[in-house]
Amino acid sequence: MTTSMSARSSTSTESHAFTRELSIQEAINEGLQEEMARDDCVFVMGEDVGLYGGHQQVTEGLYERFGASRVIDTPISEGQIAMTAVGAAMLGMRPIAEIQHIDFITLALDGIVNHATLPYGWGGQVQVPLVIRTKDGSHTLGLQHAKSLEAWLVHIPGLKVVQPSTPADAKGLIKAAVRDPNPVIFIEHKLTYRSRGPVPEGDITVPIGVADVKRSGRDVTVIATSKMVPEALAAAEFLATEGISVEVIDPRTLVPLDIDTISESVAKTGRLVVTHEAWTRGGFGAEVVAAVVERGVELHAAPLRICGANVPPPFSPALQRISIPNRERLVEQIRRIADDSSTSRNAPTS
Amino acid sequence: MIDPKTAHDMYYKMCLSREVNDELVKLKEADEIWGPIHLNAGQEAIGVGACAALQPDDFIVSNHRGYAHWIGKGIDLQGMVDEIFGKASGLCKGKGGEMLLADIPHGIMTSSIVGGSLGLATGLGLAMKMQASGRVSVAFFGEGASNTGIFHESLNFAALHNLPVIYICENNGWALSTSASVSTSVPDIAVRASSYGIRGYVVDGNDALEVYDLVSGTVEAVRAGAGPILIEAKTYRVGSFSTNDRASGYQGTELTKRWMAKDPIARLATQMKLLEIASADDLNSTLASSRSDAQNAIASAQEADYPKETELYDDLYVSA
Repeated sequence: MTTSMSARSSTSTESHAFTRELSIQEAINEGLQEEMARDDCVFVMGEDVGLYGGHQQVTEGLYERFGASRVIDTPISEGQIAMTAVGAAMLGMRPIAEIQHIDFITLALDGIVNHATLPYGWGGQVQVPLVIRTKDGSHTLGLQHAKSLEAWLVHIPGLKVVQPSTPADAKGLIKAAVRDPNPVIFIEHKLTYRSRGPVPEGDITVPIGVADVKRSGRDVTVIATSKMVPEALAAAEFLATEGISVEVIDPRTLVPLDIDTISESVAKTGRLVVTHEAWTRGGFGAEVVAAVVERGVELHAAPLRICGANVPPPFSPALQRISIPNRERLVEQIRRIADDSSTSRNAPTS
Repeated sequence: MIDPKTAHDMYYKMCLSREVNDELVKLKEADEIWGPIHLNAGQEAIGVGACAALQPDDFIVSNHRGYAHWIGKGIDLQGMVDEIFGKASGLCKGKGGEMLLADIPHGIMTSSIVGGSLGLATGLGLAMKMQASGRVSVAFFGEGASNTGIFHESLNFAALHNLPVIYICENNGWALSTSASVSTSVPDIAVRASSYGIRGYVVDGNDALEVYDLVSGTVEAVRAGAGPILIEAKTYRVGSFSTNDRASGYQGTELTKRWMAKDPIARLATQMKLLEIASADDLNSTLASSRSDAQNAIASAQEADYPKETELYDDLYVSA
C-alpha cells in the first residue's frame, strides 16, 4: 500500500536498509537535532521551546544539548518572532521560529508577508533561509485555536509551504526545510504528534515540491493533506471492499505544488476529490482543482471538495465533529462520485 | 574637536541628500518618475550625522524617508537613482523602488512598513550577537512608528538579550497628516526607553555635529554588548509627506518657517566656518559638487534601460 506509483516518491520503505517506528513528534525532534548538530547557524526560537521543550515536546532536549544561545525562549511577541527571524536570516543565520498555533500567525504576518519576501523586492541581494514551524487543526480548543490557515500562505509568492502527514515525511521535510535557502512554512497538526510510522535512519531528506502517492488506485484520485491523509487512506481501504479503487496522493508540499503527479493521476482516474480540514471557500483544495482543470485533464465527474464547513470552528463536540471532514463522509461522497466506475477503466469496452 | 575630514564629508552628504531629493521632487511633479518621492528637506542631519559614527560593515535599516540615511551610509548613488526610476541597473533591479532601497554591500536595508525597520534591525542585531562580529545595527523610524506594536516587541526583546541595536527615532512632528500631539501619549519618545530598562537620549536633530557626537559617544558600548539604546532626534518635516500628499495645509505656515530657519545644512556651514575648518569658498565648492553629482546620476538614470519582461520571475526563489 505504501509502494509509490511515481518514480519521484522517496518514502518507500523498501529502499532503506533499516527503519524504526517513531512518532511525528519524535521524528521532527530528531530532524531538528540532526540539523542543529550539522550546522552551527541553525537555531530555534519561540514561546516555551527551550526550557519547557515545546508545547508538544517537539523541541525537547534541544536546550540541554545546544544551550540558551541557540534555543531561545521568546516573549509572547509573534510580530517580533517573525521579524527577528527574518532579519537574522538575512545576515546568514538559519532560524527555525515557532508560532505556537497557526491562529496566531495573524500577528506574525507582517514579517512573513511583507519582509520574508524581500529577496524579490531587493533584487536578489539577500536570502531568507527561514523555517517557521506552526500547528493547525480543529479539536477541543475552540474558534481561536482550531483553525487551518495554510491557504493564506499558499497565496504568497516567495514562500514555500509544506504539510507532512507521516513521521518519515515530517523528519525528511524538516531537514529539507532547514537546508532550503527560501522561507519555508512547516505546518504540523495538533492531533497527530503521537501518530507513529516507519522512519529511515540516517541523514535523509524528503525533497520539497514532490508529492507522494500514498495508495495507488484506478477509479478516483483523492488529494489529501495532513490529518486527512490517514482519513483518506482509511476510506480507501473501506471502499476497496466495495470494489472502488481509490488513489490517495499526499502533496506534502503545497507550494511549489507537484501538479504533474496530481494531473497524471487524474488523467488516469478521471475523478478528482480534494480533502482538507481548512475551510472549503478559497482553500488549498480550490487551487488544486483549478490547477488540474486548467490542464484540460479529462474528467468523468465534477471535481469534489470534501473540506471544512465555512464557519469559525465551533467548540461543542456535537458541532465540532461535523465542522470538519472525516473518513465516514469521505466514504459516502467518494462512493457517489465513483458511482458507475466500480469496474476497472482498463477493462475492454466491447 | 570634530575631525575636519568627517565634517566635510558630512557637509557634502547633506548637500547631496538635499540636491538629489529636491531634483527628484521636481521631476516627479513634471510626471517623469513612476513612483512617489518622499520629501526629505530639513532632516538631513540625523541620517548623515549618525552614519558618520558607524563602521562600513554596520547595518542601517531605513524607512520611506531615507535619503539622508542611505547617502549618509554611503549608498551607491547611481544604483540608488536608477532604482528610483525603476531601471534594470537599479540596486534592486527595478523590483523595489524608492521605498525599498537596499544596498547590502554598504550595509543598507529599507522597509516601508512603518515599524518594519525596528523589527529587521532587531533581527540583524541578534545575528550580529550570535556571530560575535562586533557590528551594530541601526533602525531609523519616525515618531509615528514609536506607537506600533513592533516598536514595543523589538525594544523589549533587544533589551532582554543586550542586542547591539541603536534605535533612532526622528520625531519630525508629523505622521502624514497626523500631528504627534494627537498620536503620541508622551511629548518625548525617549522616555519610552525606561519601559525596557534601556537608556533614552534626546538630541537636536537639526544639528549634525550633535547627532554625530551622541552616536559616536554611545556606539562603542552598544557594540561591546552593553545593550540597545533609544535616541530621539527632534526635527521637523518642512515639506509635505510625499509627492502624493494632498498638502491641504495641515502643517501650518508659521511653524514650518520657524523650523526652516534652523536648516541643518546652513547650521553646519556656519559651525564649520566658526571652527575654521572650512571657508565659504570650500563650502560653496562642495555644494556645487554635490549638485553636479546629483544631476549626473539623474541624467544617467533617465537614459538607463528598464528591466526586460523576462525578468518578472527572477529572484522569486533562491536555488540551493
